Amino acid sequence: MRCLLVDDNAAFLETARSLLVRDGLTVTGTASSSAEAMRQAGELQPDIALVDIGLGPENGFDLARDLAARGIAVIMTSTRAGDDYADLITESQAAGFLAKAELSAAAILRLLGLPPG
Amino acid sequence: MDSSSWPARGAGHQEAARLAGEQAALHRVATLVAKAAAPEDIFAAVAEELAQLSRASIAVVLRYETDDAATVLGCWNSAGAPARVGTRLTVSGEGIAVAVLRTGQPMRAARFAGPPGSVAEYLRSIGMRAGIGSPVVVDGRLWGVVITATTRPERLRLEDEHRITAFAELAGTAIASAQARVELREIAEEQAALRRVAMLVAGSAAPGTVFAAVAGEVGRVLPEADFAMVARYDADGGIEVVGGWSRAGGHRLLGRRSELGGRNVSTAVFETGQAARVDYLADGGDAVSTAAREIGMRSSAGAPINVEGRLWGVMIATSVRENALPSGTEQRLAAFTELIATTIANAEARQELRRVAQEQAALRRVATLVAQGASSPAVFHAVVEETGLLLPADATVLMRYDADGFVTRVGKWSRPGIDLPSGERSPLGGRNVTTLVFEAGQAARLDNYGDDAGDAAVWVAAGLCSSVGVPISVEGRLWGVVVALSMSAQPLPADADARLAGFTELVATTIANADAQAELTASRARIVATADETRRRIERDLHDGAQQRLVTLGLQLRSVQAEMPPGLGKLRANLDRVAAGLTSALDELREYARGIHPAILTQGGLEAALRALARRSPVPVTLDVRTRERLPERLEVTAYYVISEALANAAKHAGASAVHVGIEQTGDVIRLSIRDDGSGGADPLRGSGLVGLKDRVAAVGGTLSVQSRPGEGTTLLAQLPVSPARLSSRGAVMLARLVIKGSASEVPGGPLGARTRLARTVPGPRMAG
Repeated sequence: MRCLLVDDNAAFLETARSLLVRDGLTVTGTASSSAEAMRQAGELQPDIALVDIGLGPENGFDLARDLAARGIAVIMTSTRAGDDYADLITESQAAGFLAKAELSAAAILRLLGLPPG
Repeated sequence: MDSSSWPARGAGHQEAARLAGEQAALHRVATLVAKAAAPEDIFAAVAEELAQLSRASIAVVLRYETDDAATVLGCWNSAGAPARVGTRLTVSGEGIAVAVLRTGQPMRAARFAGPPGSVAEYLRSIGMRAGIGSPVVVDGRLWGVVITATTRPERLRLEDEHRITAFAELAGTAIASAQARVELREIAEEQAALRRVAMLVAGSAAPGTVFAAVAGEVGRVLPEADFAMVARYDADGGIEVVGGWSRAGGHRLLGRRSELGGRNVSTAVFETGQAARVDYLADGGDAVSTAAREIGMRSSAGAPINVEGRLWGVMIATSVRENALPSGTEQRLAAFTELIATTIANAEARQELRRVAQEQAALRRVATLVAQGASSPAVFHAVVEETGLLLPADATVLMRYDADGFVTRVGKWSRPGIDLPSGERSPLGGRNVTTLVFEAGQAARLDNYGDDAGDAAVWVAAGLCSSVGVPISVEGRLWGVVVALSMSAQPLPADADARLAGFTELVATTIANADAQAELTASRARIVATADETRRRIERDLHDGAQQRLVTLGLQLRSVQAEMPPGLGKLRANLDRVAAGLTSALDELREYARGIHPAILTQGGLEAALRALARRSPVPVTLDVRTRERLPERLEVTAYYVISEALANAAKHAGASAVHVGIEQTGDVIRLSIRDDGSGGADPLRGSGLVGLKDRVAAVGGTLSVQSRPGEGTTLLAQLPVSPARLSSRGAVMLARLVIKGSASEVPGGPLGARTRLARTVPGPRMAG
């Protein structure tokens, strides 16, 4: 599974990437903005995208919709509680929500209904 | 008669016969007196008997008047037409009348010379050459004189003097008793007349009725008068008849106007302020007398009517016959003029009272509006309408002076049928009241307009005749002006500016209030907005800073744990504890952050945030959101906090099992309702959370109410206006009532006008229904 990470916080991006790679997930790229994310998506053709809800001044859900339209499975993530965003997540055609604190390859695969490993 | 005057015995039959005749004549007259015949009959008899006995050419009974005149009361002239009874002659020059007046004794005269109109001249003019006169004494004072005169002086003899004295004494007696009777009758008549008028006055009859009644009564008590009038002096040097009577009837006197000036009673009374009389002499050569005679005026008497110290008008009696009005007529009018003055003073006082009462009522109505916090447009409209009806004016406008040399019309009223020129803004300049008030800072008035009327020209073309403007000063500076306009020839009342003064103060108060209110509202809104912004910033800083770092820290810890070689159970357990602690810290921080500001509200909008609230609420919540579009941000924030606090109360205090939250928009008002089925009895002042909500809701111009009867649950209702700084609902209702009731047209937008929708800072997904 090839994964694109989208977050405006550089420290998190780095930590997340090394964690997921260690877990055995392929991180094809990272982006800090919607524009960068769309460009990377076009170039790298990832299967999964992890998108921060609070993408700086931008709305992560808009990006999620655009990525999902390309057939990419989108998982929303946030420091904040996910149940606040339940409706928005559903409407955005994202696959689901994963709290940043619980980030792991296994959690991602579980969320997508894919077998672990 | 003393015996020394008797002729010697043997004077002869002729003498005896003459004496007998004299006795008989005296007896005839005495009989008349005893029978209380009318004085004029007695005087006529005296004159005739005396003339015949004396073989004089003329005998005349004259009454001395107070002004060196004498009135003919009886006259018999063998030579031709006797002088008419009632004729007034002056007592001047040389002659019997003058001499008797001066001495009080019987006098003879062989020469008559006097100015025209005098007794002497009259006698001379009819050819008299000699005469005798005897004083008539009544009640001890010189009342008049009886004169016989002859064309042939030789006819006068000594005994004629005795004879004339005897008749004069008889005349005196007759007059005394007749006078007493007449006086009594006159007094009684006059009293009755005065009483009739006094009853009208006491019954608050209309002034016109009283004036007409007085004129009629004067005619009744002055038999010599042919006309009687009550006339009022006008401010422009004219005089107008306000009550009239004519003996012949059929004369339209009421409403007649003329200018003062010339030789007449109205002018004389006006100039001197005293009673006056004017006689237009039968042969007076001056132009006025001639003209007066031509129209038949013979004499006039007038008494001033003073109302509360000022000369108001005159009461006039006029005679057109040869008989002049008797002396003392103007004094008799005085009693009537006092009644007239009382009536006028009463009527004016009542009118003034009525006007003051109306003015007070109008001021009270407007003041009530101001006290109830009505909007400025509502007060402006009330002021122009009330003042327009009160003055009364044809139209009233309220103008605000703008900073750029223009004025804006913020209130207008006009009588039905009068259309005001359109146009809210106009430039200052030209000769019109609005500009004059602006330049002088004081009230101004114009009663005539020229070509230089500036922007008022369009009004002048529509028929403007006069206008009054009173400045409105708010906290020491000139803010605007109230202008009352009159289209008819009738100018606005002289004290219009004073009457408007009270209203301008109310307008100034309203504006000051509204300014203060607006200032307060804006200040509150700023404070709340600043506080909310601060909270957002804190939440964002927390999120971007500490929370992110902690999350990253936790992931790093997990990495460390994953890379641990197996077997280090204790170390692993310790690390697990650290991880758990970190997770707890994160969770706590997340909760705090959400309490400070719910990010979902900014990112997802009110409905999403409410759904989140509902999900977290320990008490089941039903959401009924009926608004279709996103609301302005400040309203979404306010609504969120209101609902959040209400839900917390329902869970914490009310012991409710279910809560219903409703949001809907009616017109320009958002209505929130949070209803729980708990125990009720919430005291809106007790829970500090609710007090804070009241402030927050008020800061956006809304209202909050709590219904919480014990046992019936609690309902929180909030109404939030969508447009900022709108009327409170009560002010809107009052304005609506005024608009429906009165003739107001559009309500100007003014400073409270245009709506603005606050831009949203974060675009959000559209909410479905």
